[in-house]
Amino acid sequence: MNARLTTRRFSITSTVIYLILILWSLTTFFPFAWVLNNSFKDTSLVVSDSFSLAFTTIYRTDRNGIVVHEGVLLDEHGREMYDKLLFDKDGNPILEKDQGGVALDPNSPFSQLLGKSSFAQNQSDSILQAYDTVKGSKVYDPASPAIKLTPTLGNYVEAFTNPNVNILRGYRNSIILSGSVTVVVMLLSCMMAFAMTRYMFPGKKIVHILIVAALMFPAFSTIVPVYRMISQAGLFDTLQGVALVQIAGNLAFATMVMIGFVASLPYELEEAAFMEGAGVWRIFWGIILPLSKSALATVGIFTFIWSYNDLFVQMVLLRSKALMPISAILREISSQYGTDFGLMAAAVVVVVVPMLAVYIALQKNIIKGLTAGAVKG
Amino acid sequence: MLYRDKRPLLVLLVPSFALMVIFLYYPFVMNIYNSLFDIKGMIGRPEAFLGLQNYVTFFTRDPVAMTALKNSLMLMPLTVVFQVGTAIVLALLVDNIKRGQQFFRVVFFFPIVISATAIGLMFSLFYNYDGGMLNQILRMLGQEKVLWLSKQRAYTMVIIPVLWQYVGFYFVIVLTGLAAVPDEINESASIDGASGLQKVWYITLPMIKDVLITCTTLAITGAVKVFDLPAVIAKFGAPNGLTHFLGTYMHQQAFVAQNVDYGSAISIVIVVIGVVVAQGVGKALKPRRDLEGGQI
Repeated sequence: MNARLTTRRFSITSTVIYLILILWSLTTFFPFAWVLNNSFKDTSLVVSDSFSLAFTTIYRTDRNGIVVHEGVLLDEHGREMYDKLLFDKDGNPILEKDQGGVALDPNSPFSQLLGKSSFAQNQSDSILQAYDTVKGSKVYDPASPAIKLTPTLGNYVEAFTNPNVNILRGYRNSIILSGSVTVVVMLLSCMMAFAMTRYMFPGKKIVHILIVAALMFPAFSTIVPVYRMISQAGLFDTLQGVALVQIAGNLAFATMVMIGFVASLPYELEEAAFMEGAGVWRIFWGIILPLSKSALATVGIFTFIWSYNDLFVQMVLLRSKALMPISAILREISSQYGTDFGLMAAAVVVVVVPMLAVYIALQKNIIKGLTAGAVKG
Repeated sequence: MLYRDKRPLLVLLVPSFALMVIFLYYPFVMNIYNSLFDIKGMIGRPEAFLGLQNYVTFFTRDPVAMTALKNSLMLMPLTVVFQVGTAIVLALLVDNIKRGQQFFRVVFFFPIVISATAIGLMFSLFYNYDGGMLNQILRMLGQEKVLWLSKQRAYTMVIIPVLWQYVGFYFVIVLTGLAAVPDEINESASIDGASGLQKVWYITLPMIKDVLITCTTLAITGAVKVFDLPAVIAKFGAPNGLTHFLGTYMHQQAFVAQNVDYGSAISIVIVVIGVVVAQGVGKALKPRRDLEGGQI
């Protein structure tokens, strides 16, 4: 209603509104697009031109900006020829025989080395490039084909085959870890919510306060003693250890959401089932759990996202690379291969895409559940 | 009666509670205890009793700790202004449009689903001195390259992704709050000649005050817990510990420098600040809502 009134009166206003909203969605969208685009490019191209689209043809240039050709010029003895060559401003080599009266730029380091006096003063735009093992300038044969940078899957191949950072194993670990954490949290939080909403018992208030208080403990404030206990129990560097800690960390939030939901379930169904002779467990498995499906979905999705993305606990409790879930692998890649931009972009894509897929598939549940949990809790 | 037999409670409550006692309450208390003793190494036993010495060191003798504290405290008002503020503006705008609400909801929420590690990596690709995205833009504009993570800029550059990532989270919460505001109130205000901004200020915002308090509290407590993004973008508070936050500094002290008791003390500081500020925000904002509730 309100919206209709406003849009009819100010169509300029609504244009401005859409403009602002689209601008913000660009900030959330553009970074991923940039990374996705660059994940299909060779690192040298990411560094030199990260905005070109991956599927256009681009010529590879070396660090001096000269187009790289497959062949290198050879001298009369058939050796690769790196000196006595002039390049014009566009980076094209000028062969010795064509040089004629072309003189050197007296300011170039090479001519300074030889002494300015040996060169004619009539300057053209040419630069002498001697092969330099430090700079690595080469003299390419313009007759050979220029090297094109076409879209490459090389970064992905590297990400999936590099023995140090095995992404497939990372996926497996993440699914085992976050999957089991999610299932256990869903079950336990529903049981807690069932107990807290259906039973009267002494100390119930205190239990409730303890659950709320558990929301306040950040992982920092428990991690040192947890590390010691996990080590003593022989669970250091195991997925079970990480799972236990993550389950405990997610239970409080999940229970709060579930309590809100289970409390609203009609009591009559349970009473009727009881009259027909069903026990507490039949009621829990047959009525409470199935009826709580939507809330359980929310809790499950959030637990999964948090567990999948939680770097801190994984970093502290895992050491061997064979056990690292995908987030820890990502950090490993960034510290080992930080300069390989192509590989890093591919790794980011590989980590992000499953989460985005899950999110887009389930986004209705996520947003609904988020607001229910956050506004109540 | 159905729920008179209390025995099922053992099965329903005990496993969860055991987990929470073992992995939350007990370690939390142990952590306070540990912070009062000298502990050598990760699995060393508490030795000499230090009392509050770690806390004294933290507040008086450790310049990096002060930087970390200052950085974390500064982040709190910034999250409120930029995260909750931007979220309110975006939510008000989306609430006013007819088409595409769903689209903006989905897109604005993107960054929350992504791990902070991935976002951190992405932003390091933007900030990189050699061939980073920002310096490529500068080069296209014919400008000199800039060292984005220099001493002067590092803090700003590190908190930009921190602030940006969670806008969508508060956006969704505020938007749900807005959906609960009855249309009639806005319509009658329009008939009385209230302008758009007046309606927002005098009607909409007071009516979603509860939601705004929740968002503010979540934003501030979230600011104290920041870890992943700074840990990935600027490792170990680089440069010179200038980008340390309480969380990253705690991790460095406890797990890298093996200064376990000191790390524990820092983590207690984190909890205390979180609780005190959350309580303070609640107290500061709630009485005023009661008054206004009375007026309406």
